[in-house]
Amino acid sequence: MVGHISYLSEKGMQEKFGRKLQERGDYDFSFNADFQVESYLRHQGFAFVERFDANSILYITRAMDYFDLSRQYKGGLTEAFKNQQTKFLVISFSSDWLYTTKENKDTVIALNAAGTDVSFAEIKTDKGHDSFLVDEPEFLKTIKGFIDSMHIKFKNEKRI
Amino acid sequence: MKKEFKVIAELLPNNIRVLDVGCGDGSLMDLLMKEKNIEARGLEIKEEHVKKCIYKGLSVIEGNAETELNQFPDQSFDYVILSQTLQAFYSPEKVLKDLLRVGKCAIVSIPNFGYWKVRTSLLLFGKMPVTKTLPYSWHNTPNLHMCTIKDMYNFCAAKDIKIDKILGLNGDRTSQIKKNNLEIKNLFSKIGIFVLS
Repeated sequence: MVGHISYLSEKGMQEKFGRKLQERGDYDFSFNADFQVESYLRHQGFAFVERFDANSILYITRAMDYFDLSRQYKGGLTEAFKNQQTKFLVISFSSDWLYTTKENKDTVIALNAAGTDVSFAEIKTDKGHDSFLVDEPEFLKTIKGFIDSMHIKFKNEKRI
Repeated sequence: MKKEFKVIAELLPNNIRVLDVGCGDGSLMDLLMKEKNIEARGLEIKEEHVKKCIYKGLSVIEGNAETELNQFPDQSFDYVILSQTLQAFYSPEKVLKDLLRVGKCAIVSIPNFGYWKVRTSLLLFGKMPVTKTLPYSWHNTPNLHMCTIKDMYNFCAAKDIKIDKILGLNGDRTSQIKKNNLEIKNLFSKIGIFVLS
C-alpha cells in the first residue's frame, strides 16, 4: 500500500479521494477503513498479494539496490555513456515522486558531458509515476513525434 | 524565415557543432542543419517549444539557460548562439561568460534600445517604447536588462570579451559596425549581432 501511494501524485490523490468517507456518514473511530483512500489502498494491497509472490518484490528490490551503472565505469555515469551513437530522449513527469525531474536531469547532464545526442522534456501532469502507463496525451505525442522524426530521418538515409 | 537567422547562418562555417540557447521552435537549428550541415543542439525553457523541436527530430533540452548551462562541458561547441534573449536574464554577465565557456565563440543578438524609433517614443511621447522588435508593454515585458548596441560594445570592452564582428540589422539591410560608425549605426539598427570569442 505504501508503495502504491508513490505511483500516484499528491494532487491526483487529493482530487480522487480527499477526506471522503467510505460508505458512512461519520467517523467510526475504529481501525476499519473509514476513508475512501484507505479502502482503495486496502483493495490494491489485496490485489497485489493475489497477483505477485511477495518474494519477487524482495528480489526486485535487491536487484535495484545492486544496480549501479556508474560502478563498472570508474569515471561515473559520463564514462558509461561515452562513444554512444544512440539518439537519446529523456522524459520526466512533473509529479513523479520516484524518478524525479531532478534525477532525470542528472542523467541528461551525464549524457551531455559524454557528448551524446540527447533531448529532454518534462511533461506537466498530476498522474504521478504511473503517467507512463496511463493515457497522458502530451507524453504519447512527444514519444510519437520523436520516433516518427527518427523514422523519416533513417528512411531518407536509406538505413531502413 | 527571419532575416536575423539568415545572417547568423551566413556567419557560421560549415560542418561545425552549434548550441542554440533559447532555440524556440527550432527554426534556426533547422536552417543550420540543412544549409550548413551543422550539428545543432538546443536549450529551451518553454515546454511547448521543446516538444515542437522534438517532433521535428531536433535535439533539444528543456531547461533554463540562466541556471542550466553548467551541464555542458567547457568548449564543447564551436559556436553558441543566443538570439535576442540576453536582455531577459537576471544576470546577463553570468550567462555571457557561460556561453563563452561552453563555446569557442558566441553569437549574441540584441534588440537595440538605441534605435531611433525607440528613442523618439520616450522623448516625444513620454511612453515606454513598443515596437516590432520590442512588442511588450512595460508591465508584461520579459526584458529586464534592455541595452543598446553601444552599451553592449562598452560592456564587452569592460569585461575583456573579444568582439570579432558586429552587424547591424534594419529590415533587410545588414551593415558592419565598427568603432568609427558605432554612433550612427546605434541609431539606425533595430538589431545588433555580436560575434564574440
